[in-house]
Amino acid sequence: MKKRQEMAAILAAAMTMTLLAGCGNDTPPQSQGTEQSESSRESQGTSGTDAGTAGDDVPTIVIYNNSGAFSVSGAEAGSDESAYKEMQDYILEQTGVKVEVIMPPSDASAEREKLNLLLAGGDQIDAWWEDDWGKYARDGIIIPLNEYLEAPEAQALWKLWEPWGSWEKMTDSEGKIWAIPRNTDTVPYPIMYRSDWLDQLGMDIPSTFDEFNDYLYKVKELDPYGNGETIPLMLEKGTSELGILDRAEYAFLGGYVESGNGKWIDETDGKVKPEWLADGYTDFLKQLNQWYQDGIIHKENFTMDVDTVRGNITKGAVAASAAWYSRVTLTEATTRENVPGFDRDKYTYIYCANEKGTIGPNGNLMQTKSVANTRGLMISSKCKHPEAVMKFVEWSFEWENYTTEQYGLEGKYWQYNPESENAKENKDVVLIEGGPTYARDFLVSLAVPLEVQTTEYDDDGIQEMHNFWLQKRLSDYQSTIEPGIENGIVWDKVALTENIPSLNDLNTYKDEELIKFVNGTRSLDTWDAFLEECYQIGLQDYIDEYTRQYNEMKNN
Amino acid sequence: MGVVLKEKKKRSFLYYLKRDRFIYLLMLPGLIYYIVFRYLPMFGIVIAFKDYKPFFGVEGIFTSDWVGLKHFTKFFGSMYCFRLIRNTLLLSLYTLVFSFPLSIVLALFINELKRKWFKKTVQTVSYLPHFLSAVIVCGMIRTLTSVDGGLINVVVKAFGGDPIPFLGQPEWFRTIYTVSEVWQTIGWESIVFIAAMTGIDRALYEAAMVDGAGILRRMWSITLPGIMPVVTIMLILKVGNILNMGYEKVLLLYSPQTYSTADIISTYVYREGVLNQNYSFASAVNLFISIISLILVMGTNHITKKMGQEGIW
Repeated sequence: MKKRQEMAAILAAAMTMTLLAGCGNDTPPQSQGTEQSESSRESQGTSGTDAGTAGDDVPTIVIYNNSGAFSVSGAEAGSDESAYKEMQDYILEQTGVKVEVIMPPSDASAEREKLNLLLAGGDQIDAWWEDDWGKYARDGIIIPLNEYLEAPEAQALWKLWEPWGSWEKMTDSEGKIWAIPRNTDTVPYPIMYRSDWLDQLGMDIPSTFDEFNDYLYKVKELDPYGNGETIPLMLEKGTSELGILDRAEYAFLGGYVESGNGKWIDETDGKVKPEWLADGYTDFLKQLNQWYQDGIIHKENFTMDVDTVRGNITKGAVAASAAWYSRVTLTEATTRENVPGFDRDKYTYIYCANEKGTIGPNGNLMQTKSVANTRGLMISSKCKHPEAVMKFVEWSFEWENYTTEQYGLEGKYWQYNPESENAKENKDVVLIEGGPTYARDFLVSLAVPLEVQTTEYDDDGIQEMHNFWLQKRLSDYQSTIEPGIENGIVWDKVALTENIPSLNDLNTYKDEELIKFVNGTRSLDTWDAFLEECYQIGLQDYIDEYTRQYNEMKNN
Repeated sequence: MGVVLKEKKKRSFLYYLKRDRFIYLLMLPGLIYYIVFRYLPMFGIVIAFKDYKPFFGVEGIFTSDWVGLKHFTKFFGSMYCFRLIRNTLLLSLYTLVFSFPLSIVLALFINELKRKWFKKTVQTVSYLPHFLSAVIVCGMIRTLTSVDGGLINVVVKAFGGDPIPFLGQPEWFRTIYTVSEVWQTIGWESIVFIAAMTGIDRALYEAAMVDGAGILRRMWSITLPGIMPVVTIMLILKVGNILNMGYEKVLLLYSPQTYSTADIISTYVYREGVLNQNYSFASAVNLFISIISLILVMGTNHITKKMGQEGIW
């Protein structure tokens, strides 16, 4: 009996201890690359909140790397432990900073959810990427970076971004800089055509809307993929923040609306209005509806996720794409392999585009330029070593270090092209296969200013399509029109939310109804009624707040 | 001969605590669990009345500004409030109406199977879908309903129809959700009923067979009444969760095209609260759901007792 009682006491004590142990998270800092598995690195993130220093004088910083570094095939499972540790040690040796990286989930919502939970849970995160620094700055969650950017060692970083005008997007009205930029102005929604199918139809690359439309209908009739499964035109749904049609608007709206895909000033009342209130917008919807009815765009196009879009392109079913450019460029080699009998001698790439853009029905270029947004790398106000974060960032934004962060160590994962005479000068690199998987964990400098410097060739000695696109086309603004008044404007999103109480309801309603106009469940004859409904929800507040902010910015 | 009953002496709680200390000790871990993980966090509900910033952690609960009913007003003031409640209720009710009776029926049939290996196989196969994650299930639904070669559309085409973009049409959403939910849950939910059936006295069945009762009569007159207390408790618990639907599956299947039937309270809270860091708003809506759930549980419990069944308290 007594033995049983003792056992019961021990059991209860053990269970209580286990329970209480689960309450705390004050575990000492540990290297995630060496002592934790890759999966735990992804799921748990960093450990204790005191991970300020790795040794006596080596600062440890933790970065939630949602820069998009992991958005490549093969990166889903993260790096091999040895590759992670190797890179971490190399960076420590180069910068004197120990960097821990938290890998985000691949899904955009899950990525944000995890970040929010980590921040709320008090985990150490010294830096992370975010679309809108405004709300973080207002709440004192991040620190201004002016002091660090004015230092001599930060001049290379400053100069790298300066020609692209991206610092403006990181700066508030008082001149405080809150983040390291992520984006530049780009031309990301070109119409790309299957080179071989254009040839089969005896057509040149379309330069006008009529030629483009002609191609779509001809290719539908030809059905080169077979079984009626050719997709004449692949679009992509937009985000919930920007609107479900946002990406289609970037690709085509310039051909219908003078101010393209951007807010504009209505000269009749001097107010700032959204693109969907501009003259010509209903013609754009009418065209999308026509394509939907005729089976030119896929019936599930606005419910498809990115992987399905990419899958349709790579299996070789898509005749023309007006989705985000890299859906085509990054998968070009795979698509080519999936198309039997593709003649590489005849066509450089399986997709081609008109470098001068496409002229729309209104005589303007159809594509709208995408201006740099406010996304940037921010440093937490709780960060104990902001200078260490900046040191790592400055190091990362040098081209050779960027290349190492992208591919792995030089000599093991990449090398300068031995067959090229001026490989180093031309930044002509070739990859070395066979090492343990390195999934770009430490790549925080993923950005156009560095991407365009690298030159990459495939096994046939032809420049990789993605690389070609980055260097030659992504910044070719001549093929686009300006996005209304958006250039140089940083909207205060916190004020938008506060001063437009029904903002989310309005956006939701607008998205739901616009898609009904596209798929024909709502007639365009009811467009005026739709606008009236929007005004009832709060469209006037929306117009007034955007106008107020615009005038304030102009007056400053 | 008279018997003198000795009156039982009343003892204090401390006496029993001391006497049964080892039994109470065993209760301690469970008690601590509930206090630490269930009751103490309840204090966090206060953020529903504040403008809480997640970045400031626990400290922020005390330091954030008091805003009263602002978040409740925002939710009830939204033009979608009624639609969200309606969609949540309908999806939950459809699932409850189809899944709950079917899991009982499945349990009844499995209980009647004579061959042990077949019974076990059917049981295992039927509850396996429960272990699939929402991502996998939604991937299967997308594949099955796809316009390009999805099995359902292949059948539609074979009968001369045009392919239907099921996930893009609001009128199909509830059907797709309910069918998949029933498929995924009835096997798992039937386990409780099968377990309850094993507790029914076998003599009742033998007696009924002697009296000439067939399988259906035995099910109706012995098995069903035998498991009725469990059925009642399960039903009360289910009704309590009617507004508390998980968001993962809906989130993975819906789009602005289907918001009119698919957008539910949980997905709205996910977008507004979790993704926009507005945890106070999320807490306010969840507090509302909890109160409604409590009322529903108490109401169902009361009705059940009135009907002569056992309640949960």
